[in-house]
Amino acid sequence: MYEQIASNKRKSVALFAGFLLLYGAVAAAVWWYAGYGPSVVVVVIAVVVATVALVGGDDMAVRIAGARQIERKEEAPELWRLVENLSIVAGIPMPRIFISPDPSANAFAAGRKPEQAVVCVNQGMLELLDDRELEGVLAHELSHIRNYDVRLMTYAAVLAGSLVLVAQLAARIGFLSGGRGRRDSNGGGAAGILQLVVLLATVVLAPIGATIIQLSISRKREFVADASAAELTRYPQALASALNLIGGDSTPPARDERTIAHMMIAPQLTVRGNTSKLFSTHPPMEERVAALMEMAAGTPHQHGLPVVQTFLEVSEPPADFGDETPAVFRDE
Amino acid sequence: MVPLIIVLVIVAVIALWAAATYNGLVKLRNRAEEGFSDIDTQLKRRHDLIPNLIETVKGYAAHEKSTFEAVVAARAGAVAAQGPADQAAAENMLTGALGKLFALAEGYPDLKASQNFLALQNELTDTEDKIQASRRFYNMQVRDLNTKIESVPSNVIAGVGHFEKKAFFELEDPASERQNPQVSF
Repeated sequence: MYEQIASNKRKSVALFAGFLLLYGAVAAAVWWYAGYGPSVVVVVIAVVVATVALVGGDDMAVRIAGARQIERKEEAPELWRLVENLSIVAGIPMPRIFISPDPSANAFAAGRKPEQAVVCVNQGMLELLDDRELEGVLAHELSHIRNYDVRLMTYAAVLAGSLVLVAQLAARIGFLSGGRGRRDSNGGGAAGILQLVVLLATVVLAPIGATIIQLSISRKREFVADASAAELTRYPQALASALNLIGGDSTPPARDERTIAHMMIAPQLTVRGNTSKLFSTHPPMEERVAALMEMAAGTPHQHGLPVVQTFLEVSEPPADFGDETPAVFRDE
Repeated sequence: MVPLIIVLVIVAVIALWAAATYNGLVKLRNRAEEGFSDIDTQLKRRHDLIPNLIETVKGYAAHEKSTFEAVVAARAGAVAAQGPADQAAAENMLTGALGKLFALAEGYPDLKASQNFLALQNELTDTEDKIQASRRFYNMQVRDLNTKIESVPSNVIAGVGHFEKKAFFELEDPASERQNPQVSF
């Protein structure tokens, strides 16, 4: 467990180092090709874009999911209680709770700090899981918050996004300054072409590198969060059972949520209902279930009635959700 | 000259490590203490609910004196208890006495249907869940603290700084009891 958290921390350092390298590579390529001035411009723009996105992007995920906040305990007392109690065990402030009308079984946590975190559960999840399983899933999400995974994943998403932007900018500088000023002083010719090739290669490869870093970290973190969830609930078989059910559920999501896919507990299905194997944000379900069952010395969890039938009285599940968001869930 | 620099660097590294370890221990100890005061808050909430509960039950089953007295005595014991071991023992007593009280309630349909009783019962269950939750948090911090105090080389710093191992807060988990078949009369 603690080895995993330690390796988690090493990965965080690796993430920032990796991004720094990629930014550096882009800036260096611009410098080599177009000179000192443009490279400074690229760096400044990168810093500004990243800062704006990091400061302003807190509730973006919830907005993307079209979720509705549970503001008072009375609206969903049992869900509230589960989150409240798990927050006590995890030693974090209680996050804000959201329910998304989406019929696919998924959940995510977001936010830069535990103090302003949110946890969001899809309607599909409430219709699929029993209370112990839901507890396991919530514990998994709260672990993401406690381990500062959500912050890192938000940063990773933002950094990857801004790197793409910077790379495009660099490419544009490459074409605009198209060797004019440089070639005169440089003598031009083969050296200029080589510089252009290096710049373009960097510009193309940097975003791919960013995506690979982002995904490898996301996958590793799912295992860590599963392990912490087991520590919080002391009942890993419920989460294993939940993951089995979620993995077997083929309800497609109502909207395309690929932008926040790496924050979700389960891999995003496409709107058509397939998983994308290439560039997967999550490790295979079977591996996660196996790891959890290894922690669970006891018997497998017996799946009970879904929470919507036992304790949850959240407002009407949307009957024909799909093409239009019901008014209650619409973002004001 | 060079050997002196090497010695100085080694001393500096050791000093930094010692400071970091000491601070880590302080952080763990404070978190354990915070966890313990959280348990205390929840225990107090539990104790505060009991007089109301007894009053409510009395209204329907006034003659079941011995059961009430057992709960009152157990509550007094729990309020007076100090330190994890004593408190845990007293709380377990109280849980036992309350169990008898609720078993008794099964025999009084009017009581069982009373809104007040149901509200109190829910509140009590919620408080017990929260006691379990804060207890688990506390125990996790204590485990981390004790591990650090015992392991090499942080045990040296723990010895010098007089860090002491803390006791776990052991309670019977009502959640596991609840899974047993309910007794009905």
